[in-house]
Amino acid sequence: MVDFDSTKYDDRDTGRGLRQRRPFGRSTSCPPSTTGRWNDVAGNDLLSPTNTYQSGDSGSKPNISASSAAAEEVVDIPEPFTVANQLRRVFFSSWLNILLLAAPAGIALHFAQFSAAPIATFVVNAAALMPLSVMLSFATDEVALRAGNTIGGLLNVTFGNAVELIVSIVALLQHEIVIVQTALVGSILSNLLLVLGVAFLLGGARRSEQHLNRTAAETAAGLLAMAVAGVMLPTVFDLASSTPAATIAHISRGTSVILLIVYGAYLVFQLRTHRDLLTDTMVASTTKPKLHATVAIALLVGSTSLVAVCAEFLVESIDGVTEKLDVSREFIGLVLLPIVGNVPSLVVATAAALRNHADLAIVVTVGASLQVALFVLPLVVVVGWGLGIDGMTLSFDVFQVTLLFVSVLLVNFQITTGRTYWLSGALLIQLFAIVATCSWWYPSDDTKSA
Amino acid sequence: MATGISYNTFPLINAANSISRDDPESWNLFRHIRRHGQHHTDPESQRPAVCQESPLLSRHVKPRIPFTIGNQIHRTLLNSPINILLLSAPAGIALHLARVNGIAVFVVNFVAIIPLAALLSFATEEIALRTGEIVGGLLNASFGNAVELIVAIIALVKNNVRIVQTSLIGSILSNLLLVMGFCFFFGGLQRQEQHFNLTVAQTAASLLFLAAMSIIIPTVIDSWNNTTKSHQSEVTQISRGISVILLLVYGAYLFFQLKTHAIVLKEESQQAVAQPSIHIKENNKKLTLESGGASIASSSLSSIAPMSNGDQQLSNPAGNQPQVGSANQSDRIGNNDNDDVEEPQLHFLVALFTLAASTAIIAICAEAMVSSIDDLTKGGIMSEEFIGLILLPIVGNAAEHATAVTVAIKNKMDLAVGVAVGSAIQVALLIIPLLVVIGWGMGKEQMSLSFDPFQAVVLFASVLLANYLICDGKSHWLEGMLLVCLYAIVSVGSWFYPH
Repeated sequence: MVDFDSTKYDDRDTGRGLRQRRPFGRSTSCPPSTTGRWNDVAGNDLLSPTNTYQSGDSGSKPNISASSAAAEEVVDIPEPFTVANQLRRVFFSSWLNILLLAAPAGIALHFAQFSAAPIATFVVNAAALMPLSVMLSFATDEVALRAGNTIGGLLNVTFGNAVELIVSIVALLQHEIVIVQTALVGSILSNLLLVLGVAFLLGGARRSEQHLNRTAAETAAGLLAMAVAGVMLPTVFDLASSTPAATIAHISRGTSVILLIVYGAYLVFQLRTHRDLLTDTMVASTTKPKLHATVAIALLVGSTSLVAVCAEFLVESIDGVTEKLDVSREFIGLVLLPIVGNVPSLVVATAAALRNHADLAIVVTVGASLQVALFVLPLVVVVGWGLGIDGMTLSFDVFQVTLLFVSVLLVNFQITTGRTYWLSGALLIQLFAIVATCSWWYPSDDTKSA
Repeated sequence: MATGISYNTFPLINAANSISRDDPESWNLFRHIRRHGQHHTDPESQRPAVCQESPLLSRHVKPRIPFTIGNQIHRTLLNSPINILLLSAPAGIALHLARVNGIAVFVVNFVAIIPLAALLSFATEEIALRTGEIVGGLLNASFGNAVELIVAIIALVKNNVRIVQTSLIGSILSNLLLVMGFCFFFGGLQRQEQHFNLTVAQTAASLLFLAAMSIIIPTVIDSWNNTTKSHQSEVTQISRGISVILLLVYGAYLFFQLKTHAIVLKEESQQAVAQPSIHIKENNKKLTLESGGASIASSSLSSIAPMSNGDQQLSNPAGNQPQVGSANQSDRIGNNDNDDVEEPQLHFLVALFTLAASTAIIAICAEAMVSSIDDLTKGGIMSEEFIGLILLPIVGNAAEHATAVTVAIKNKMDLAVGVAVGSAIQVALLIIPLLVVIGWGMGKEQMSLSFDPFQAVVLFASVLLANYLICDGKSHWLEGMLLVCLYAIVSVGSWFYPH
């Protein structure tokens, strides 16, 4: 089996036995009853590297006898929170956190304004955003753990997409509509194609096939199709008729409200009426929190503000980068920016697929895409409405809409059959490569914007 | 096994779910439920529905109570509170002749057509009761979407091709998104999920996709080649060729449904319908009817575990039922002479007269309505797109919508989906090509399959979404919500559409 080195993610303080391992990042996409702890029905941590849980081909029902034996080894040592272990858990839990040093560097670079500054600022701030987004998810999980299911779910929704939300709003305030739209489309695409593709590829590398929960997959497919339709219709409207910008703005705002309602229904579906449908392998665990409540909230607030600051400097440097490096805005928005925000979900999805939980990988990535498409995007349009920015509409560039449509089509084909293979992952990654290639050479024409 | 429960619930369970207007037996079932609910007590008739070869051309039906003038009038005019609105028909015609303000004419005639459409379908069913399968099927096919056909033909005669196209697309959309969405939503509120026949759903999905493609291809040819007036004829010729092919496809679909695969479709539906719903009362009744001992076990199971893992636990006992049910059914094959679920309500001549009269009045009201559309759009109140896409389809489909939703709430999702999807297919594969052919006959060059690109994309998106959601044969409330919200998005777009 391909060994995913997750030992570095272990919490070294929980004593012997199985680690109650936390996956980083996008637990927003999973039903919040698990709030970041991925356990099977017997209470075993599905993503722990030392878990003796060995899955068969179907992978959806754990081997109860083996796991119950393993479960006895878990010792729950009550651990007092000390300053030392809090600091360690926050800052030293991952090698990625080295990049946290890039945060002050990025801020400094922004104010220093060297001639090479735009590129350096861009790179350094992007590097800083990666561990920050991971820490943000960690803090969100910790706070959500104490908050109960519904509020925890809502918290996950808001802060789970914090990076995209902040980047978009910052760009919106600077009137960079093209960047906003491109970044959001890029986030959806990179989740659907790159992350899911890597997850399927790695997960399917040693197995003949992976199984999915069909109902969950089909619900996701329907929601994705809905999201794409919500973007497609105003775009086609704009193209097919010569309407003034104000009318397009009206249509976009109306459609955004409807999409937000759909998202609300999706949350109700997930959290209340059909909770068992989507979490047949996952159960809310009773793991203890790793951070003291105050520390968790402080971390949440701190990382959010740092993310905001770094995002602002990142967006401001984009102009300089496009001039100096002759890179198109499309490429930055579609390919580069989303990578920054998607590191957490990449980690979780890959780990899940490696342990034969294709279900989990799908829930995480498709859920993340849905959140951007049905929550962040309409929310940004509504914020633009409040700010009186008429240009922020759902009428996208035809290229981007086509990309979205094709990606959703391909993903739906792969997941609605209920089985995936390594080839499914390879197809998705190749489509992403095509997207990246096309957007590299895309004519960076600002008058082409919606 | 015979209990005191009326046998007439039998057909409700065993019935064909390939419900469509073309299939008289399944359509009978639909309106039986519409008018009598599930408790039609008729212990003397003892008529279970059995798949039997029925006579092709005509059959003899006898009413239980002899027809009198009194009860005929009662059954046509007084059988539903909605018929009050019939009074607006003469009012609308008068307003139109008096050349009053267009808005008033539109609204009054709009309101008048709704009960007239219900009356028309009632008369059609009564006549179809007396004809055999083929003629009954054809009757239902032609008069089923009569209102849409009439409105479209009138608009075509007035050379208003945009309204023709828009109202037909709107009819497909309202069936596929609005009706089905409400069915899934309201039906799914009380349950985890509902099932419907997979073959019907998948066949419908493919046919709808074909229909959508047949509209998109000419539209794309027209838009992206910037056809000038001189090339318009080529697009029209393409459209006419495609229309003929679509009519052939529709003929094949009828043949598939009524002849070659009728039994297959009906058999499969047993399994779907037999899966117990969460409503325990209904359950017990159905199960005691269908299967003796197995039912007790399954109904107790269903009462223990109604919600979770609905599929897993309940599908096993459900798996037993079709065999038992069909065994019962085969016992009764000898008894049946006709397939009727109910007796005729109208005398044949009365039904014929009602059919003719309502068609005529609908035609007049539709003409009044279509002529007044110009007045509505001139004032800038609403766009033509909105009228055609959203308002006009309501007129022809209102009664059916209500019935389909009621049926879905009663967990007869087969019927509901069959009606909604069947109606959409009929418009897409029969009425649209028929209009093009009629335009061909009348020499109208503009009547083609080249639609407005916005409408083509809307149709495509709707067909795509609907296909994703019905392809697995199951539905829950969120799927219904998605369909309705897509319809809302389309309405928002069409409201703001430029004139």
